Amino acid sequence: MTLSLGRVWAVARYELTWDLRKKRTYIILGMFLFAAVVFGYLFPIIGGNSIVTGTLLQGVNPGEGLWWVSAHNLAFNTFVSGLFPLFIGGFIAADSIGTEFDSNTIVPLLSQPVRRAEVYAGKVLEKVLLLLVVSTIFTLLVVAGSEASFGAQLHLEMIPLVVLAEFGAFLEFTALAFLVGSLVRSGATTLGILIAAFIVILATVLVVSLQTGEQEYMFLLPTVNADFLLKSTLYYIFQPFGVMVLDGCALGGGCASSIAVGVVSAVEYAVVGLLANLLAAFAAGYYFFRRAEVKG
Amino acid sequence: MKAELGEGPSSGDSAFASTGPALEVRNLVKSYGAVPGVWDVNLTVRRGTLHGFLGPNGSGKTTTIKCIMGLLHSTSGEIKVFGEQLRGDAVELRHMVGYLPELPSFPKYLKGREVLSTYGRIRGIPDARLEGESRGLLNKVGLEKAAEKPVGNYSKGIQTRLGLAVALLGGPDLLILDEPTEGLDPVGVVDVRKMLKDLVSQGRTVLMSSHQLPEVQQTCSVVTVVKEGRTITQGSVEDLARRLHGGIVYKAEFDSLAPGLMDELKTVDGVSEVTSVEEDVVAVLMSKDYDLRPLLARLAVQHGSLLLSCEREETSLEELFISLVKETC
Repeated sequence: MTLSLGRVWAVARYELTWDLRKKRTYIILGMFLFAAVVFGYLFPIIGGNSIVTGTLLQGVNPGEGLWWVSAHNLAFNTFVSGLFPLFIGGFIAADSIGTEFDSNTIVPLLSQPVRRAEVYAGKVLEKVLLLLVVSTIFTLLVVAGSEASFGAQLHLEMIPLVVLAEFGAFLEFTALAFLVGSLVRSGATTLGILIAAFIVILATVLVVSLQTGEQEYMFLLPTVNADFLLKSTLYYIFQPFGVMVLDGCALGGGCASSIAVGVVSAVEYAVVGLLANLLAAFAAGYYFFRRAEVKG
Repeated sequence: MKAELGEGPSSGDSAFASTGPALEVRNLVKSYGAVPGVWDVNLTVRRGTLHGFLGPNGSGKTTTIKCIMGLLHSTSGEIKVFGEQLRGDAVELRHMVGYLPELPSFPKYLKGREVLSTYGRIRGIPDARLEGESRGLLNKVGLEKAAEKPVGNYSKGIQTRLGLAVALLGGPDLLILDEPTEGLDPVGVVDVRKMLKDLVSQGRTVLMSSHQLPEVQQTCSVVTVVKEGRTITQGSVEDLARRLHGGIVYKAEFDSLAPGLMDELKTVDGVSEVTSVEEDVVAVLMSKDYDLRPLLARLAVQHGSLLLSCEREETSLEELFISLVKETC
């Protein structure tokens, strides 16, 4: 089966037009980009130097020159880890397949001379491009804010890595949204299942961590690896040969035990976990999309 | 809505058979688990005809059409478009088919003009040709003014017109229209009827499902009737009327309708149905064509009544359809 790039691109343009005309897209992206300004620029203005010394990444203070790295860590982990990726990658993509079936707009789309694989690939391509742009804008805003607050920032050559790590985290939720959307064929149900899955996975991590203190295999859990990918990438920037401590801690509770993993290994675990999850979710999503029937 | 048509048949693709039916459906079965959707649908649509696809609600018309369009996966059976078997995505074949779903839905955020350019691009129509073609189609379906409004503001009728324009994108040789006059005002219905006839006169083939029987009778030359997921008959409207019931109805008025008169009428050879249409007026549907009037007059006298008037009428497709559906119960 050969895919026509022209048709894939035409579907991607259709998808992009939709995303750019949804209020939800602007609300979510607006909040996210506002967070870049808050963590990159406003926090240092309010907290001054004390915020730098109080911001530790794996027990180490990256300092003013790496505030852009600390700001990323704060933005992604201040509230609930993985919340931004859920919003950006999951909520925006929840409409992509589920709502097409809900609203029957999938009928004129699938009635065109286009392969289902091309429709699916076009939708994935659009999300990939959109998320890459969003990750880049977010990172550049954080860097710009950090420079405005603390002057020249260090290791800016690592910006592409951070953009990729953010992008990977977002894309994992997108892949889950595509899988769930193709399976349940409803936008609202997709959103509900994504939120429920997010809570269940977080709870599982906490329970398992508390009971066993072991987290290596948790890298393989969807959404967890995405979170670790960004954390370990940020840590890699200022201590590439350091050791990451993985605490088996529960919310507000003690740590059962903790293990130490080399930073490079942590990044590798996270990348492997992420790729495995992306592949599995997108492939399973396509399996269900290919077989989905339009009954309504 | 303007009826003149711009482009002729699109492809005339030499890869596909140039003779034979435009569409063939053989022994189509579609079941949802243990529940049958269609059980044995057979349909042959000759090239250059306007073919009606009739059946009561839930008879399997839309299910059949969705199987043809690949929106549902058939359980078994064979579907051929221009002699080629439809398998998988069949992109090449689908270039030759335009489809109007029943109550079409388009993304609400798109304007009418954008709907056409979006689906046109997906159909692979080059940008240079697309703008002119979209403008022509919007003009053809009478949507010049609504073209710049978001689809979310469209009425059902306007959405159907837009759906027709989308179905005509790329000038497909075969049009499959599911209830194309649904939601249209009377002027729109007349416009669509004329447009479909024009399309057929240009050599295109149209399969049209409808529950509006007079519409099919006025528009289509050939009809396939389905019921409970099975094809019960297929043929030209005239042939069907002749073959099945003689196509004759007598409307008889008596000075009083004696109780035994209707019962006795039902037993007469060649009478397939007797219904009371008004007080003292009955409609007698014939399965054979002979002059019933002398018999009606005689029976009236036998039951102490008089035959006041009697009119002989050709069966309308609607009556034929009702008779067919009842007959196969």
